[in-house]
Amino acid sequence: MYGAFNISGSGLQAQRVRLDAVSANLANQDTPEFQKIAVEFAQGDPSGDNPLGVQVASVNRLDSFNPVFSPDNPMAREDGYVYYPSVNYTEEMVDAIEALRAYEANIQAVEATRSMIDSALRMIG
Amino acid sequence: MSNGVDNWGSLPYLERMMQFSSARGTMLNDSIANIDTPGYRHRDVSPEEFQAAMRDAMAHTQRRGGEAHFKNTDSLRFQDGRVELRPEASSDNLLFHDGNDRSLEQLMQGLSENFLAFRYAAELFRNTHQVLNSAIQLRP
Repeated sequence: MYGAFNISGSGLQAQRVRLDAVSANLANQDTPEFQKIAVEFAQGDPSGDNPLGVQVASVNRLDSFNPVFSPDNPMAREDGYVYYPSVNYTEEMVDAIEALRAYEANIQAVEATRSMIDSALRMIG
Repeated sequence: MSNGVDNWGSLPYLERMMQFSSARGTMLNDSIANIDTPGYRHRDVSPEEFQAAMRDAMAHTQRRGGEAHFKNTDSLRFQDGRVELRPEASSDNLLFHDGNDRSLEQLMQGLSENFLAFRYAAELFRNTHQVLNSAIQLRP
């Protein structure tokens, strides 16, 4: 049953990385040349020993920008455009809420496992 | 002697019920952890299938006596005093564009039910042991 803690722990860790990525995207939505961060999950324990659990398979930097013509801007490229990241505020907020809900679900799973172990231990006393 | 006490009354059934709930809890935790994993398909073992196996084992013991005998099913293996689960990917839920068939509500409901089933079995197991203990203490 202790393995169940590790599984939920991997879920918590993965969702926190996802939330970190969303935070970085939102904080840098007006930063020229910032490449949006996308996190992708894969099944299995991060250590690779256990097929159960979840891990962060990749943290990708997306090479997509919203170019704005502003030749006087010191951050402008040679073509006169300033390249802002293609961060969509609404999409990022939805992603953040999803990550938060999944994080809470994993917390509930940890609580359920803990209560089950409590019940098992009470059989001794 | 010890084996006889372990197999007294409902104890073997309660023990299997706790083993099943524990193993199913691990699977549910896995499904919750992978709720945003592309291509992940929720896997589970039906509690009804386990209950049917329990019912058959109880009927078998009532008819023939002796130790509880559990028959293997498609998703359940009873061996060496343990329950091994062989879950199958579900096909009940809506498949999302990322290939995941997530249903958080269904998972959380399963988690609650599973926790209550384990707690119920653990409490009954504890009470049964107390009854046994009282009986032992009353002996001259």
